[in-house]
Amino acid sequence: MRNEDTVGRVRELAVVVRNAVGTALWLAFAALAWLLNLITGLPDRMIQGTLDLSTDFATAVTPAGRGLALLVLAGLLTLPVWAGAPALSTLTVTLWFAYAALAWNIAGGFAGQISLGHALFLGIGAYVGSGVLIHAGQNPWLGPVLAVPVAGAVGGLVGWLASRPGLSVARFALVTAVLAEAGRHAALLAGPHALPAVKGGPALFYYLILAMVLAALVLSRVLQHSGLGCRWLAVREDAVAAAAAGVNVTRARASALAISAALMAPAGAFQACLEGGLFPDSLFSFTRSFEILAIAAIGGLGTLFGPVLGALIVTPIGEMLSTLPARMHHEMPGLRLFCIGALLVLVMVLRPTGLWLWLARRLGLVPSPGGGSRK
Amino acid sequence: MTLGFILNIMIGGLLTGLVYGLAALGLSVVWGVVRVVNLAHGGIMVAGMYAAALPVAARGADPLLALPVVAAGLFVAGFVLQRFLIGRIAATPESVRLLVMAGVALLVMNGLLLAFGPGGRGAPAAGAGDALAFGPFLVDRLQVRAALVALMVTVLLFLFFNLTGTGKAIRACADSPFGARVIGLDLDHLCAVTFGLGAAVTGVAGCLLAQTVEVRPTLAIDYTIIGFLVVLVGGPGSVGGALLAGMLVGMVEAVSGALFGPESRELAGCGLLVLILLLWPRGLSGEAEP
Repeated sequence: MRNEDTVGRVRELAVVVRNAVGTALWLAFAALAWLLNLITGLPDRMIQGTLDLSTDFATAVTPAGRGLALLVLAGLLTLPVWAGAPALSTLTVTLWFAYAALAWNIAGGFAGQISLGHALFLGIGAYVGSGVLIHAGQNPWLGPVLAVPVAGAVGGLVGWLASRPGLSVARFALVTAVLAEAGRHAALLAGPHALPAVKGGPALFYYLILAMVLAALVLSRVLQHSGLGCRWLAVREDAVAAAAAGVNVTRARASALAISAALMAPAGAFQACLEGGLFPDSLFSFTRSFEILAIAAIGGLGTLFGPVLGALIVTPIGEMLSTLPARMHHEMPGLRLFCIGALLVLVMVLRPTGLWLWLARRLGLVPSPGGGSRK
Repeated sequence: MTLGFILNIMIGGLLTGLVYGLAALGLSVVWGVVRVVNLAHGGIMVAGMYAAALPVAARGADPLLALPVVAAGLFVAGFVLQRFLIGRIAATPESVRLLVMAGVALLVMNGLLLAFGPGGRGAPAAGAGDALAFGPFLVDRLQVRAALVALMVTVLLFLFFNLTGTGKAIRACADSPFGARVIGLDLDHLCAVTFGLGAAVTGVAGCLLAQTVEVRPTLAIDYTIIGFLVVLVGGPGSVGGALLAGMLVGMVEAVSGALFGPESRELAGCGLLVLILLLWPRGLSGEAEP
């Protein structure tokens, strides 16, 4: 009974939301205006020369780059109108990975804390956001709101635990991997759980994830240039020097993981709605964590648009690699992740700073650096 | 649930733990010398397991016959990997090295999945389930054999590092790469030898486990996590720490598995890690970061 009630309420809400998509479009355009203001306006508050890695789309951009950004955004906003259902679903998945990689990038890129266990926060987001609240007969759209602080708190705790004094980046990575796997086993004890379908149609999911990506971009930009972002950068480049300069290293690392985890939680709730259930092996998947970090690193560690570019490159190829053999009646599990691994190794060896900065400079989207660049 | 039962479980866990310790030793040695965390650890173990399961499937032979072949093959693979890939990125920041290893881990894990398919394979070796009685304790014959081989390999490794010239040179690299270069040691070659040794030892541990466990590609994830756990608990770069932590983790997992069901095994191991991180963040051996 309660489930049917929930479904009815979800349907009503979906109608309201669909009507609100028009409004959302205008809001997105407003966000675009804000983004453009950021792109064109703000002076770089960082000391020149020390921060070449962050010479990004948002700090300096050529007219060509501005035009391309506008074109891409216009294309993305009108996509459901002119693209077919398969393209829409592929792009929804792509944007999901872009969002997840952006969230990972806050800890892994800005603060240099490579987490191998971000699936933990996906799982927490899904279980807290969808599971608990639907059990209690609540509105599924409110779920992520509760999931964000819970995942943030867990992230902070994990971050604090994994960056106890004397622990290096490598140990931090291993601790996150072990704890994420513990999360999977805890979820397996709870078992999988079906969710009532959210009736919103593919366009709703698409606009939701697009708005999330834009919000994550704006948040990343703000964080990167905040005092906190400066502390993260200092810890990333030289933890000993940062500590000597008065930065609380453990707190900086923990805060990076907390914010990154909090941002990850809505992605988990979104994934659960898209899959129509809570599946521990899929949500807490070890390889999912690797896929997300591969996308962020391929695009460009610690850059703003790198994770988005990484998702745009990796996810469509990955989708093709996983559907093509199936269509030829020849299942090849593992082919997709094998290719992602190969691409990650290749990019990290040839261009450790990722594809975004290289491509953007190549295409003249951002001005080439004048002075000595970081190796 | 008598005390004798728990003691029996603990002994079983201890024996498995010795094999975990041997595997983690491979991870730990590479970390200490090459300063790279081999994230493909579990994948290499499962590769060793498959190699051991093949002769069993073919003619019911003893999987330990595959041991020298696995060790030699993985030594060469590790040597080549270090020489041509990881050695080239030695000067990059730690995060980049970690990401390269993450890519290698994806390659190995999914390469195994592509090569062998997702299904399980390999019947347990002949004599599985035979028990030896030591007074009031019953222990699995194969587990005792695996633990003895693991101990033997550990002793060999210890002797190699303490008695041979190459072993001493490798330890010099671990102590100070700069100093090692100054006195004219070929760092690249020694790092490649170390990585090969690490991979071989890890693969041998996989071989030993293949006697009692059915091989599946997804085991790579479980064994990677156990390897991380053991190294974090024991402290990287320490032979004794890895062995001690392996036994500890094996025992904790076995006891919690027997008391609270198989799903609680990893949770108990994780609880142990949290405890260690709170009490001794650097692990049991307490050595500084390599």
